[in-house]
Amino acid sequence: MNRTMGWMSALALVLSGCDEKVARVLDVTPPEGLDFAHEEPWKEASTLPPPGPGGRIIITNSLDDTLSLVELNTVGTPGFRELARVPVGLNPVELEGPHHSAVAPAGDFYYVGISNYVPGGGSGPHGAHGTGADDGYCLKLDARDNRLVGSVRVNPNPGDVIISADGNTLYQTHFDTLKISELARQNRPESEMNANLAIIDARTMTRKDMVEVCPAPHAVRLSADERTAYVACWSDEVAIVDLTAQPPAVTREKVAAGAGGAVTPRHQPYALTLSPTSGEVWVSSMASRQVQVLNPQTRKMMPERAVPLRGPPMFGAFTSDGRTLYLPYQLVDAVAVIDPETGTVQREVSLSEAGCLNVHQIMLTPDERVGLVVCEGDHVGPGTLHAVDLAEGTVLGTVEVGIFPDSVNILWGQP
Amino acid sequence: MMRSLWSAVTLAVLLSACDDGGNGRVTAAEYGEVLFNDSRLSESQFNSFSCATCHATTPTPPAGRMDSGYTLYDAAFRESWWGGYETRLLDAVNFCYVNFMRGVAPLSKDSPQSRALYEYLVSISPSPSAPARPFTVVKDVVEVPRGDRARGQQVYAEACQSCHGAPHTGAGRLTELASILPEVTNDYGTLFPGVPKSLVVIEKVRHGQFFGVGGNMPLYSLETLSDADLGALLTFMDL
Repeated sequence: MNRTMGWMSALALVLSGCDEKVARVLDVTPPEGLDFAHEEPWKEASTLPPPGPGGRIIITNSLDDTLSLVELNTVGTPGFRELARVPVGLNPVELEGPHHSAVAPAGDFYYVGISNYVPGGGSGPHGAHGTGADDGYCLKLDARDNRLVGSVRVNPNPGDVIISADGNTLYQTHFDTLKISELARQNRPESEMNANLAIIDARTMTRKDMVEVCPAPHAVRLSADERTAYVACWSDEVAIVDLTAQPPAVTREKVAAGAGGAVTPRHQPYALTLSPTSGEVWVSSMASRQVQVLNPQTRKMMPERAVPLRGPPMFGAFTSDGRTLYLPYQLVDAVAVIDPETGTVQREVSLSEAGCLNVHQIMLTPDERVGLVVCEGDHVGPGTLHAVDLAEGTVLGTVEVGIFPDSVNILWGQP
Repeated sequence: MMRSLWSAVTLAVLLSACDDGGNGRVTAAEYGEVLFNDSRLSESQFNSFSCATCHATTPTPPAGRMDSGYTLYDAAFRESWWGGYETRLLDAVNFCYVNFMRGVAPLSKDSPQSRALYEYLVSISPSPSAPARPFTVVKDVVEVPRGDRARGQQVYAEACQSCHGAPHTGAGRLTELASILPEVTNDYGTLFPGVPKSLVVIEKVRHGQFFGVGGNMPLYSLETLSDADLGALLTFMDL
């Protein structure tokens, strides 16, 4: 019946006037011999070049769904500014909260976590949006044009994301403090508050494993041999994941004697920095404002090595010789330069005068002469990126970026 | 099989009889225009939307139309779309295609349909570059002052009626999946106890299917529907 009707309609259209284009296209099926005027369909006007061998700094702006791009080779020059701010996410209508990034070693792709945690992200009778109740994602983007090429759905509140040295595997945590508060409200035991470490095949963007690690795991780092993953847990613990076991086996170590738990943490481990030489795991604990050290051999904390700071420590960086740890911390908004052997703070680089508020992460340039420091800002206006001359202890330049930046990374392009 | 063959032969005869004296071929832009206006661009059997449902193609929208989407005249070479959150035209198109037209998979860059649609959009975009258009999403849904009833009736006719049909009856609505207004709100007291019905309607208009609302209605930004007109619409619907 429908087919008959269709052909009758078509015939009527044809008979009603041959110059009517609709009469010459009787279906959405392409007509024979279609002439295309444009060789390149969907031509893009963007003139943003791909990252070159000089490197491109990439910053995730978690409260405005953008990435700030800055050319690395402009550091220390008047050209040190934001090259572009590009949108990121699956949905142009809702804010999705991009959180942290990982760059493929080959420089061809990068990965961004989507947290769906954006306070004030929207509300209505159907509920508040961006509260972290929805599942998150890990996105795969083409480094050349920042185009989304894949994604994988994970659990709510993705936190940190890192990549293996061969670029094949991603590790993504879920900083699900909402789960803790919800279950605590129901008087449920801490054992039910654990969240997963997602292990993702970076090539296919499929989940290989979801490993239950601890309550609200945030930072994750791999040992040099990549047989072990260390995870900072909000429950005053470090989770140690044996990646060689099948399934991966998890043990947990409290960061200090008399530590609290998920509901009432006393330390709040948040970030991790691994020594490239000793393999020691330096744990940044926000509440106790100290950096605590885990011995990778004994898998025990070394309380005598803890370094107190004047504010919550965040994501640091070691020099490649393992002899210096640059550790940014908040409240004062400075970078502490720490001798990891003695645990002494040798000096500090103040960033507040340069406009830094709520410092979040430092990353070293390959020559280790410059620290790229990202500061969250006040979470309403722009955050900042600072290039710091590490020898002189001075700020070489400052760039305003998007709202609540929370990670800095470097993309390397081909010559 | 035989029927298909017969159909194809018939089509060939019809088309050959329709030769306009030129090469008789349909240009890609012409084919794209047909696709633009045809909901069958989406393979979903539940879709009733075409591009033309939400977008005019003239420099200014024709009188009597208050679309949720901007006119696509001069849209092909805008700097960005969706308020700056889509920087590629195909991605912007596919966001509509998947979310509103229920397309099963995004249009590929190289399919004949996709290419033809691009050529049509280019054909109605004489400017080689055009600025981005603002798109302000109302994130937090709050009440709006009520407005003039007569204006609200006009807003209903221009913004709602093409999909939802006549008020109270739904007569002439685009699809039975579109609710009858304002009768659909009769259930809101049960579905949203303690919440004013008007607030649910405002949410639907401002958030469309997004922010956890569901369905496949497009959203109205502040630029495409002012709070004043929304308030007038609510008055017309006695909400």
